[in-house]
Amino acid sequence: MGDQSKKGKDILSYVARERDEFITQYGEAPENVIAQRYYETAGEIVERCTKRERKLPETFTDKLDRIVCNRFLGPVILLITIYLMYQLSIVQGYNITNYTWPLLAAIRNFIASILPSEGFVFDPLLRAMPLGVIDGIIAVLNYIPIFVILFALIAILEDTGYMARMAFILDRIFRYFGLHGQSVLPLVLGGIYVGGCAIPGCMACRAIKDEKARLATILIVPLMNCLAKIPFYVFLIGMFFAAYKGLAMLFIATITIIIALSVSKILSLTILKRKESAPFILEMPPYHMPTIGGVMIRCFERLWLFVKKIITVIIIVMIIVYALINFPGLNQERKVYYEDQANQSIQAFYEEIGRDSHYAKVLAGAKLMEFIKYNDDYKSAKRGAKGEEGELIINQKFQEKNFDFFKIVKKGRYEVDGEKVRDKDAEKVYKAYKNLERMRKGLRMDKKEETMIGSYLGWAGHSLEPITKFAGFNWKINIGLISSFAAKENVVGVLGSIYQSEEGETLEERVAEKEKGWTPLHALAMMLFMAMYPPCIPTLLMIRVEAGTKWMLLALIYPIILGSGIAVLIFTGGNLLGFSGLQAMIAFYILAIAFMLTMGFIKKKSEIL
Amino acid sequence: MSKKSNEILVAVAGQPNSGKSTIFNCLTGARQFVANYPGITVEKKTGIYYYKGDKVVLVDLPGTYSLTSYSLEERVARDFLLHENPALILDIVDASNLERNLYLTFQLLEMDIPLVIALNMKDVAQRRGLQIDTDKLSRQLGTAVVPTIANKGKGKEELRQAIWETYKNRNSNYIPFCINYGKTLEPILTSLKKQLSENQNLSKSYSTRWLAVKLLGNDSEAQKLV
Repeated sequence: MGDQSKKGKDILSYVARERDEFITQYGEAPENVIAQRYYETAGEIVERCTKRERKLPETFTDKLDRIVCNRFLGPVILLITIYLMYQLSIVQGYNITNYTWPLLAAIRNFIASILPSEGFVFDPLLRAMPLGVIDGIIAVLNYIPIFVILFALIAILEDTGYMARMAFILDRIFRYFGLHGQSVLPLVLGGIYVGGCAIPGCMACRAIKDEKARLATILIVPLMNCLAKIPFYVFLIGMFFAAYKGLAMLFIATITIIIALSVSKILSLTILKRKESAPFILEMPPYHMPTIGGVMIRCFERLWLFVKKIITVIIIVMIIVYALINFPGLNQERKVYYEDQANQSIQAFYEEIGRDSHYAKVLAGAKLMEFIKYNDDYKSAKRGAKGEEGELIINQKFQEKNFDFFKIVKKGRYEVDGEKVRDKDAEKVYKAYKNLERMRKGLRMDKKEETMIGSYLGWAGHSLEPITKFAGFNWKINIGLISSFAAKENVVGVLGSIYQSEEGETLEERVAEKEKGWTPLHALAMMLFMAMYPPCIPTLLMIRVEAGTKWMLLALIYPIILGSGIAVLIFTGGNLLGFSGLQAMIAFYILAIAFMLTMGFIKKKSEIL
Repeated sequence: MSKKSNEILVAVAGQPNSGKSTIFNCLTGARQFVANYPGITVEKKTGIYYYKGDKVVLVDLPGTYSLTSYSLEERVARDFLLHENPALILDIVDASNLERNLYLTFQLLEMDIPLVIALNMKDVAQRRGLQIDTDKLSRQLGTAVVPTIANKGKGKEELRQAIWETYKNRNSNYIPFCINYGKTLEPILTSLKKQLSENQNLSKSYSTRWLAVKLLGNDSEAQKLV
């Protein structure tokens, strides 16, 4: 081997010598001569083998390009196209999920039915954990209609040749920020205004040929406002910026892209500096009519790749998340407390319906749990029933299954041999059961909340408080924010359960009652932190698929630092300067725009536009 | 029938928008498998069809304008051709953009792997008043040239036939087309090629002329090979 490599070295040094000599002699690098010869030879061959019949007429492509790439019309058409893509995939896709969701829910219910059945307050681990994992999986599978539409539309854009025009129009602006013309589609899908999803956004980055711009885009797509962040914004704006709702929404929708552009520039000047930036060759291919088969094949092969990758990883992740939220769990004393509470409400229930009544016997002991399941099944079956006929069939089925139970769920109104019966006892049992059901739900909720507060996650929320207080976050907010890492929708739900209170009050009212010290500055800091918030777990997995583990970790860590920095700046800085929420908002906006413009003008020496 | 069937590995190359995927889909139909090239996100599509008892395995290379080592796609395409030993290359050439498409064709020819050219979208070229003499082009380049209109499925059988024939005749005296780099470069190339031929390892695995051209062109990946 040593001999060989020595030879290799000899050859290389020979090449280097010859190259130098060539350059001094002809004033030109050999590669230029080589490329030139390619072009010349191609020209010669074409000359020899082709005949031009007539003068080139203006092609359809040329005509269309005069409109599509027009300096003024171009951007307008581009905006319309982007808007349509967004409407069709994200908005319509979400509508379709209304139809596909019951299907997924049915699968979930089927799996739930074969797992060990639930307890009155405490569910067996073998039930709770698999269901937690399945919920995570179907939450991701729920996006599939969006992906089908999206991938098909992308394939159409690529095949028609419009994608290249899109890149051409936007490239000039985006280059200033280390991005590429093709970065626009991922950003739109991620929610450049409001309401997107980072997963299809990251996926769409595949189309970007320039490695540097591709990574930069993947890293900033999660900064966009995905649909799941919206409820949290709406909640805080409704509470603290009620007078300027529109303005606040516009602020949060546009500040993200302003920050994202700066971030992208910083990334491309630092971490991504060494990544290759492909020489910018943009070809305007002639417009083609895409073939249905081609579009379908491309759409489904991408979909399959996505499903395969995501599903395998998400199972592991969901198990870990489940453990973090549920362990170490309640101590013995609290467990006993909840069991006591449960027993008391069950005893009260029997008391109410009369201990010796017929129905008390029907619902005695384990039969009560059986009835709870029966009732739930009946309710979900009725929800799925189609028309009166369907309802009749369901009634028939449940009546056969257990007539006594049936009498109760029908509130005492049923038929025997075609005659209508009104069973006062059953009606009473039904009412008592409604009470019991409410008690049970409350207990389960309390238990869930207490478990979470005592869990590793809750511990993390508490121990972060000394730091996060500079951003204005207390430990409850911390828990909400941390839990939203699994999926951003969580934050409002979790806050809802932490700030649980009397029925009928909205979350806004409850929070206002319990956190009297909150100011709009708190809210603004939270909103901006949420905007910068690290990608949710499914998005991180997608980033890992698209870019690798290293980039996934970066995508996880930098938004935390950035978000915390901004939140502290708003909260502590705002307080020091005595700003109101609105003043802080405007001041920050101006600051961000100034920073973005500065970043845009920094140019690397090698960058020639 | 004891004849053992062959597996013919065909790399499908072509510039972007040459209709490469359309031809790929048209040749292989639904029998396709998608994976990523190991460790990177470039999609690797494989398709299969049977012709005259032989199994033909098509691998779709990323669409690239050339085969330098600038971008990930170009490197992937080149590494496949260098290291996976495809029996032949199917080069999709956009007839309406013939001159520019030949740029890639020349680089493929230099790699010394039998080549079949699908001259795609001849209808578009014709509509633009461009008449291409397919036979002449075939003689000039020393390869089979099959006119196709892939989105209408035209030329599919002829292409399959040409691939099969080129494969069967792969060991006959195949003289690939050679670019003449002119009197300034040719002497250096010849001497370099001679030196490379002396290195058994290199000359067995790679076309020495291709390597010589790449080395003189200051190609970083080629330098790694030496």
